Amino acid sequence: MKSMIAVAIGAILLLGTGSGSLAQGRGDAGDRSQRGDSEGFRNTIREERLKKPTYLQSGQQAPEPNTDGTTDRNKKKK
Amino acid sequence: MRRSGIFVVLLLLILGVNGVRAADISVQTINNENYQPPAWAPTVSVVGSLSPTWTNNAFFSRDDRKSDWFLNSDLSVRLDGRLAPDLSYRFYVRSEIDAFAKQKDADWSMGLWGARLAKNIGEWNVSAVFENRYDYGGIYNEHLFTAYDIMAAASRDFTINSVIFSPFIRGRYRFSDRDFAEYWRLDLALGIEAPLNERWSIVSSPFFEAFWFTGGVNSGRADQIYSVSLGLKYNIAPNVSLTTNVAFEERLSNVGIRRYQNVDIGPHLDFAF
Repeated sequence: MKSMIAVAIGAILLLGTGSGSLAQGRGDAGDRSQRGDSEGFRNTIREERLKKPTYLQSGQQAPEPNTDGTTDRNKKKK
Repeated sequence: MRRSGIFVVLLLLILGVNGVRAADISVQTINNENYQPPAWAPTVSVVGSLSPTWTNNAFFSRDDRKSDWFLNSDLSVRLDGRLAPDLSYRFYVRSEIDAFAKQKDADWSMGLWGARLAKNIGEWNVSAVFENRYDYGGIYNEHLFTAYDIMAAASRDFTINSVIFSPFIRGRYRFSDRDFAEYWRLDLALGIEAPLNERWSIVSSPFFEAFWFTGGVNSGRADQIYSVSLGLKYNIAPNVSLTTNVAFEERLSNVGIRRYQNVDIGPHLDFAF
């Protein structure tokens, strides 16, 4: 009887340890994407600037005015 | 694993095919930066960033800080068009890789495809976005999770004394095949660009991110990330720029071991064709 209890306790402890490791691993897995998330966010902000009106100050010909006047950026260039 | 392999092959095929098309129309794209395409003429563009970067915390760890160099590659192929004069759409695929010099266990990569609807409301550009994302440990090696992000965002530009400010706000919920990756998230960012002359400008991109995890071992976890950056940008061409950047990032969390501080330093080559 005692041995059965010991085996049961051992199994529970083993499962507990196993799930703990798994949990930790999964947490880390989610965290591994954090650097890419932050880098990607900064990249997106910089890439969006590639199409900002400041480039038009460096001698580039402005596009034709937007006749429907729908976008903020085109309004600025008029 | 097999599914992830098929996805990578499809992604590479799409990138390769559309890259050629994009190169063919690059001049037209540049000359019509803000051209509003009619519904029948969607445009294809390739947008990306390459950056060799030094970090003082490769694993974003609180206690085990290891510095290293890594190469960040971020490439997107976009298809933009208009459904109505004031309603635009975008389909896109994106691939991002972090490849470390020494700390190979920090290697990371992801691929995604997404769709966006955007509309101008007042001075703001408002958008609804869906993304299906695949995250990997290593370079498309170990599949970490698949995510389905539903997002709403708003942004605008305004200029004060030639300095351009671009506030940005975005909210999302992430569904995932792994419950630990599911969360609500709020992003607040402010892009700042102060031109010095025709070619040079000082740039900064402070942002704040808040995460509320909802599933699995992360249930109840709440993180906040504060990031500031300062850089000097050189406009090589209207569609190519080089920015040297220093970025500091700190994450606070109600889970102690998830806190970290990180500094990244490196040049970024950004391009759009």
